[in-house]
Amino acid sequence: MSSHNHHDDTLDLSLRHTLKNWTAREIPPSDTREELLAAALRQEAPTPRIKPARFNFGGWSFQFQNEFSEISVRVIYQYNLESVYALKPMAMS
Amino acid sequence: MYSDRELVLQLQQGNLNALGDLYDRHNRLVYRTALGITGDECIAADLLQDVFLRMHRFARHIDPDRPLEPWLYRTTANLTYTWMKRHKRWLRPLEDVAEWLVGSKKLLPTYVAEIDEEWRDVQKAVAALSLQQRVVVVLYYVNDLSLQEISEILDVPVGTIKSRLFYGRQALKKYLESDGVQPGEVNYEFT
Repeated sequence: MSSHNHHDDTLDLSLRHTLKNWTAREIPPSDTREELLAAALRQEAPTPRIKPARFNFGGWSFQFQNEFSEISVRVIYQYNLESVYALKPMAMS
Repeated sequence: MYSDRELVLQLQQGNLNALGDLYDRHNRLVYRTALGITGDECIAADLLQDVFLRMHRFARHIDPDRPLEPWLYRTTANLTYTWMKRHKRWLRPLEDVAEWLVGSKKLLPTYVAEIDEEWRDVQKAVAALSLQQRVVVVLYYVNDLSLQEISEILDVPVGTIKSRLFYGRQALKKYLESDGVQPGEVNYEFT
C-alpha cells in the first residue's frame, strides 16, 4: 500500500490540478452573505462573554447590556417585578 | 484589517459584522470543500450558510487562540456527513449518483457547450468514491492539507487517512482509465 511510484505521482499531480480547477471555477452565490446575516440575526444570539454592567441603588437594581449596538436598561424592583427598557437607535432619534 | 482571532472575539460578544468579515475571508474555502465532496453547487451553498450559522451559534466554543481553518474544515465535513445521511438520494447506487450529478445539467445546451470534459470525468469519478474516501481526497487534493492535518481535523488515525487516500486514489485511477481518460495525458488549465 505504501508503494508510491512515478505513475502515482503523475496521477496525484493530475488529480490535484483537475480538482482544483473544477472547484475554483465555482463561486458561492452572491446573495449567500445577506441570507447568512439575516438568518444569524433570527438565530438566538450567542451569550456574550462580558457580564452586563449592574449596580444597585436603594431597593432598585439597574442592569446595562450592550448587544448588537442596542442598549437596554433593566430595572429590577424590590418585589421581583421586572421591566426592561430597550433604547434602540431608532427610538432615540 | 482584523485578524481571525480578533474577529472571533468580536463574534463571541455578539458582533454580527465580525461574522460577515469572517464569511468574506473564508467562504471560498468552505464552499470549495463542500462542492468537492457533494459535487452540487446548491447543496454546497446551503452547507456554506450552515457552517457560518454554526460559527455564530457556537462562537463561544471556538478557541480564538487557535487557527480557524481546521474548525472550518471539520465543521464542513461533519455537516456534509449529516446532510448526506438525511437525504435518501445519496444512498442510491454509486453509479446512479454519478449519473445524477451530471444528468441534471446534461439537458442544458449552453452548459454542454461550456463543460470541460476532463474535470467532468473526474467529478464523476469522485462521486463514485465512498463518502469517507471523498472527504479525504478533497481535503488532500483541493485544500492541500497533509495527512497529519487531515487526521487531526477528522479525528481519525493517520494510518486510516492514508488508507482512505490510497484506496480513493486507486478507485479514481481505475474509474478514469475505464472511462477512456488517461490521467497522465490530460491537458490541464493551470491557474
